[in-house]
Amino acid sequence: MPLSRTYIADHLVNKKVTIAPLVTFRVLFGLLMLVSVIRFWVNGWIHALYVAPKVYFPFIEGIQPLSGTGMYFVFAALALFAAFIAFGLCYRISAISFFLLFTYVELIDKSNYLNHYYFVSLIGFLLIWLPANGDFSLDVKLGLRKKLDLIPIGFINILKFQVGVLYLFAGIAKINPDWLLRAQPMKMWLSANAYKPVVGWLFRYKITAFGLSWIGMIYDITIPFFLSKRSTRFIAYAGVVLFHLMTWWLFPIGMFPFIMIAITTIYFSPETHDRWLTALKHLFRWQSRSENGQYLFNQPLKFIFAAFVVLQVILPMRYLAYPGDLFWTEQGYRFSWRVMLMEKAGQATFFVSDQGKEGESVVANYEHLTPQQEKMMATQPDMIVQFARKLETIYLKNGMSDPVVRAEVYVTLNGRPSRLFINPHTDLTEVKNDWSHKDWVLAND
Amino acid sequence: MRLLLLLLSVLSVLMSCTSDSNPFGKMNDFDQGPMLENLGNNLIVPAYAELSSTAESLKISAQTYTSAPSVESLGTLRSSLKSVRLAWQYCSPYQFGPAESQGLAGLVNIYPVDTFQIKSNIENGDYNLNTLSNADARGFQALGFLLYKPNLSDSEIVASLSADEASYINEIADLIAQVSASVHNAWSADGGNYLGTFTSPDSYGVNVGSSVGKLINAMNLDYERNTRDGKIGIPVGIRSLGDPILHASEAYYAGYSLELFKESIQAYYQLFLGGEDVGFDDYLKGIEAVTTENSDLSDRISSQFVSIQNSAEPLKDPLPQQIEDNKEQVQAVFAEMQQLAVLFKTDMASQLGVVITYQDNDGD
Repeated sequence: MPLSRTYIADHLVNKKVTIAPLVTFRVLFGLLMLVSVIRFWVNGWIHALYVAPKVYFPFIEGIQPLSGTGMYFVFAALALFAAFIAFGLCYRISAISFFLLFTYVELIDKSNYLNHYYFVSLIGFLLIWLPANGDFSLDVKLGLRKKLDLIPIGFINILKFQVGVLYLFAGIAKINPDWLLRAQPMKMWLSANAYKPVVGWLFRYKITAFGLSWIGMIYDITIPFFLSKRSTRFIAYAGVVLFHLMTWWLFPIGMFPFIMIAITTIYFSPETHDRWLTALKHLFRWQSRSENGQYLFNQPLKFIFAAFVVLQVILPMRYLAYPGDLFWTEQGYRFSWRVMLMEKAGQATFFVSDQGKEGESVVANYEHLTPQQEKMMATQPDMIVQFARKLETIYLKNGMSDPVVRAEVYVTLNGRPSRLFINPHTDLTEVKNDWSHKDWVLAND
Repeated sequence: MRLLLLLLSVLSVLMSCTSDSNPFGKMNDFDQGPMLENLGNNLIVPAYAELSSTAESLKISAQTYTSAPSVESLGTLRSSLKSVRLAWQYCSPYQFGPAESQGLAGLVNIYPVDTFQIKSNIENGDYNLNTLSNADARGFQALGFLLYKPNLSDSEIVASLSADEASYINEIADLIAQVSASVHNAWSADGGNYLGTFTSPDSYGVNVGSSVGKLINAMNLDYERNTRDGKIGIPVGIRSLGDPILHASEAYYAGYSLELFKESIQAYYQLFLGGEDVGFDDYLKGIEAVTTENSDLSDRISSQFVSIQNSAEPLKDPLPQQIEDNKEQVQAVFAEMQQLAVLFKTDMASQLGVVITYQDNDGD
């Protein structure tokens, strides 16, 4: 088999296949997002996370939540656009709006960062470029766009790539001594589940922790490949369902398991999706129009996808550019599919004094931060600096001329005894908080 | 099959290089049930029973004093006040469940009080102690202010008691007695039986809704804000560039801040040990196999309690005087307490796997 450039281009990118996988993907994604947004609202998290806090930890300085009822409108719009995506109505505009609004919400506060939110943002971005409303959509029904039968296989492969990258890097990240040789933090996580009915006793044994650590690692690394091969696909998918239901039952990880169960169906063959779509159409008495359209790659789109692919490979590996222990310093930790990987807890005490003057005050973190924010901040250096700068502003207002903010932070990682995390003498208002190496984070050895 | 065998043999080789001495043993050999039973039956409910009965005595002493003011009845009321305050130290860590929903802590132990508000309430006679606007004009310290009027001798205090002030004293004491009885009733088995909820297998685990989760979160919060900062830190000046704020002491007027503080540490220590029976020390030992390095966490916490007690030992009431005479020693107590806060919030919480919010998380 000649693995020439044209062969690859044909089989991975240009080959025409039915649009069905894209359509079922669109419907599933839209509905899941709708449920997620409603769940978020019903749980009262809009208020708890985007209205109640006095301080935020934005990814980009200046991004902040809307005031008053503004955030409720944002979430209402998210729900609306998610539904529009599912129904394929004003699809392109809905996808763009959903992506922008969702990403905006996620950029407001690092305390709320979840890998699966990042994943949703990426999928939202990809959907903007994919003609997923080409069939079984209100856009087609209303004549807003022509029906599509065939699309280049690259449109499906970019989604498979995204799912595959998530699993693969999540698995690679688990190849570390703590995870495999100490079964940590799995031991602590399972041990906390020892009081569950029926099978709780299993989680009292170390061997269970070792077993699940290894299974988790092997599962993550191999599942994209087993899902890709026709002969193993069915059993692999059963594994996906089982694995994610188990993690949902054991750990407080919300919608993530269901998103993965739904989204990995993209690995099923186009023919299977075609059957599902036919069944769906039948259910909704969908009348197909007769005209058939095709959708082709254009050159700019190829460039966008290529850049996307390169970025997705580079981002999770950027940690290699930093010295020190990744789990400890967290330089290059986020946006890298490090899901359910470590257990960190910290206690940060901030001290404020006025440059050149006597006396130092201890900050009451609880007066400024929510418990969740305080927990997240105490173990993540960039958030520690952000909080120090907020304190600088507050104390400037209170009449200091040049506040010096330092912090004594103790952190425990994967069950080891807590130890000093950053240099307690560093004036945190004077350090850089960008992508450069943070040399004031103490070594973990 | 061959692949599986290969995998298993690789696995067993790797298992042999793990730092774990016995990878086939248990990592959690602890049952929450007996601990919750013990804490609920032998510590929490008795603590609220004691609070409720001392609060009832307080109410009666207040009635006696206000109907027949004398130096003697003043003395009785003062000692009732002290008893209920000492009893409170054993309830303070348990501000979850009924105590939280009834706002117990905010009704009984607010300090420093707003003395202007208290005086104006007495003068105007138009007040409702349950409202937020009177949050700083009620509770133990409001009574303390009226029973230990600064710069007045005991007989002068008795002589100065007006009818309006008398009814204010009774109102405060009534409110304390009423809410204390109500929380005690909500906990007790023949009342609201929150004890049953607390010890039920449905409440096992470490999630937000679990008993251990609630207890640990309430305890950390109270320890940090009320014991570490409130009783010692703020008076010694941790919020004010090192300048002491003496009037922020608990029992500032009555003058036994340190006695209350030492009782509070004792209450926490007792909670940690589970009194005579099974407690968090046993819990930590029961899961100590989780990490070899942390096998001594339980002992470390115990010895940290002792360090706090030792550093507080030389301190004698009144606290404001101590701060003026021997600030370093008071700061040393704060530093020791800070170390315990670190052990509570990092090592212990992480080992137990206690979750602090209902929010989703992915373990990073």
